[in-house]
Amino acid sequence: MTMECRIYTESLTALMDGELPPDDTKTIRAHLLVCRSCDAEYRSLLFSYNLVGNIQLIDSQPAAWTVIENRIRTAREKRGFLRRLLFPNIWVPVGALGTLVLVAASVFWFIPSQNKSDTQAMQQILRSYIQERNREFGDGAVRVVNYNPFRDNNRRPKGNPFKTE
Amino acid sequence: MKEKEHNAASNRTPSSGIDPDRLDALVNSAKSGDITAFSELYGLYGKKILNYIFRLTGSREEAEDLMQDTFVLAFKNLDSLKENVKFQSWLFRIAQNSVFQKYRGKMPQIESIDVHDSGESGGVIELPASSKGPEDTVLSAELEKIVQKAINELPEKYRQVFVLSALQRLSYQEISEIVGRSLASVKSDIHRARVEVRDKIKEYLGDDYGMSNLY
Repeated sequence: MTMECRIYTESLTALMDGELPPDDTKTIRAHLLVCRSCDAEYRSLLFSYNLVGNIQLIDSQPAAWTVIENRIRTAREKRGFLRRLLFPNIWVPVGALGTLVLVAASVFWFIPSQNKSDTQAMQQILRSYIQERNREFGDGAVRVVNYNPFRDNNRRPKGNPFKTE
Repeated sequence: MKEKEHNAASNRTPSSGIDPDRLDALVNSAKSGDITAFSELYGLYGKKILNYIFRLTGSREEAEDLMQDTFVLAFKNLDSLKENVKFQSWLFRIAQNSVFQKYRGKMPQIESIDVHDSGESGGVIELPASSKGPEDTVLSAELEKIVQKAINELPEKYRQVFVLSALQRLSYQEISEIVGRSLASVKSDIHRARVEVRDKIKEYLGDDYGMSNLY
């Protein structure tokens, strides 16, 4: 058997199955006409192929489809029951989802607005404090002064209490 | 010889053997829950799937059960099938997975039938005498046992591709999709499997192998 024969032998099954490209089919067929050993191998494979191909196929039981259909219907009913149990009405989960979205949105909206109102209240306190402080100057005019509203004026003076004069 | 070759090739069904538009319509109907459409699909593919599983497992009862499992599973998962025209390959893959699952990832070891014990001719099997052509060939029970034994003795990966190619007559492309191996690997495995089966049949038949009146 030549190298060429070995290559062709590998393709004999594909040739038999009609799985070779037309050019390869032509080449191998031409080779089979001149090569006795490859032709014998081909015939031998074809013989067993035909034998195997003639094996009787078995038939399924007549009730097989009924069994399959029943199993499909049962599975479907089970799935339907679970769905009804978990989601009795399609609008229930939709409504629940909508409510959830609304709650989440209002929470996000409320938190910054509360911060804003806190800031405004603080500004108002400061402004009134400044006005009150300015009134102490006697002219009633509102002045902007560098004043620390948080300073404790009643603080005891610094000094060493143990120091003797 | 050409006629015989033609016959061998023409038996092959490269696709499912059904009009793709019809198949598409049936699968779409089944996807929307139409059991009647699915029953039609069962009518088209039920026997093929049954025989595929039967040749893999060697047990008729197992094959019946697994075939039913395959179709129930297929109906449940129809939505996952993207290309309707590939329904057949998809179904064969489900069947194959069912077999693997049943046997925990390993193909079943089929008990071999000793053909030599059952024959009365001292180990030589008598072939059917009268055969006019491939269509008329009727295998004797013993001869069928020989073929089944040869299939059973194949290694796992060869058995799978052998059954799909020689018995189911699927195209190499479809076989490649079902077994999840490359086309080149499938082509090579099919050839090796055929040679092994041929050698085993030859061994059992002895001098009778290749009798021209058989095909």
